[in-house]
Amino acid sequence: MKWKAMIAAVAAGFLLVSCGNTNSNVEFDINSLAEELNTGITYQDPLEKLDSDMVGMLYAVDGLVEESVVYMGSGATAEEIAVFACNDADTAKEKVEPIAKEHIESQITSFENYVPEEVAKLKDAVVRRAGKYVAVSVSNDPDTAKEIMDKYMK
Amino acid sequence: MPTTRYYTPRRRRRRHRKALFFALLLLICAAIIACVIIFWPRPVREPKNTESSVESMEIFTEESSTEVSEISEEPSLPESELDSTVEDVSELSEESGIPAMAYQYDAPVPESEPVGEDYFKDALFIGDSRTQGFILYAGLADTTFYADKGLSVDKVFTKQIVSEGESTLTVSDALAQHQGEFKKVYLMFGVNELGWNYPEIFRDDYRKVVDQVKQTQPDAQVYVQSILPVSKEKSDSSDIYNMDRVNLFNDLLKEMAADAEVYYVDVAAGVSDENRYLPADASTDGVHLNKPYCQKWLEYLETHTVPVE
Repeated sequence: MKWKAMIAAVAAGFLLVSCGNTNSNVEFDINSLAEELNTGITYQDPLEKLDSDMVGMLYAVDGLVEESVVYMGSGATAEEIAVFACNDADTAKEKVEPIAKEHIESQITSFENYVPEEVAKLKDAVVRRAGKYVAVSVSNDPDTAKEIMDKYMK
Repeated sequence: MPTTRYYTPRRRRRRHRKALFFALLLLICAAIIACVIIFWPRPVREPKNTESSVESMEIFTEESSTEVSEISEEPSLPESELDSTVEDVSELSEESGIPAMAYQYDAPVPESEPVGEDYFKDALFIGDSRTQGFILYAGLADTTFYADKGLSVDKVFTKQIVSEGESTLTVSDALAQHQGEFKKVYLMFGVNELGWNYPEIFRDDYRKVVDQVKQTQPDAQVYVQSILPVSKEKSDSSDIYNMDRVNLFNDLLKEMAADAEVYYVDVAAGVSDENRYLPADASTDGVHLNKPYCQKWLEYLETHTVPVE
């Protein structure tokens, strides 16, 4: 019985690792992922790609990322796409992913008393990290967002 | 005929009378000229370090302002030009069509030569979610903004939205912390207050914001932006977010701006259709502008500035 328990524990360990950090060796074009998240999901408010020098106004990632791409709506909704290629995997894990999560929390606070129906989308926001990449999707279709991210980040 | 000292031949009498006549005429002319020089009203400029003097000069073109300053700054005017000052002022007014008077705060900022995006590097934008969208889509990366969803004129003094290192400040406190840093301040409030029962309170609270800006940013030009329109669909379907309310509130803003002597810039005109609604293609919800219309908004601001002396 002991060896069965050991096998089960090792298998569980592998599963946990694969969920939290899908593929630490992954490499992809962040613009492709962002574009597919934009076209693969129907948004209530059409999203526009921000100029790269405007990203710092939303996410305090200056100096932490090699490249970033963000799509935003007009402000009528909380819908958003953000994908970052961080300096390295440690920066992605310790700096950028927490920043992304803080941004979502901040948006929840902003929208709570502004457009409360957007809070549900924010609470279902998908924040995914793989290797040096962090991706964020806020939409009314988080399942499709996860499927698209899996294609690039697993 | 006997001649006495009292007797003058006719010709000599005529000559004498003529001389007297011309002498009298000359005297009268000289007296008239003297009166004109002494009593003709001249435009007087106030000292350079007052707001009104800066603002009164801002409507002049560069060329005419130079001429006017030469004319009206009496202490520095060369003596040789003194005689021509009266004629120069009237000629100037006729030539340029620009009256020598203070800035008309009760009128919107007129169209001007376009400025570049660098113009906004020392500007501060304060407002609500529309301003947030504007900053992101106008691409003004070097411009400071204090804006938040739902921000209203009363919350400028109470809601902490400005991140400053480890702390978060109210807009009012942030203005005080950055005293004198900004040369232009653009304000836009109103859409979140359209539902207020007493629009005059909006006007009065807005005035408090303006006063705080003027106090903390004494060198800044303050621009009150008109409330942007809403779409016809939104207007027809809402008791609050409709053009009757927008127009009412904008009239109050014009009144406030004139009273506070700050510039009223009618950005609404830059994004409206021919019926003054926000076009259907400008917004998803009839209120928040998409990227192309934020850029129209920027273009309007770039072509409606008041020159600084």
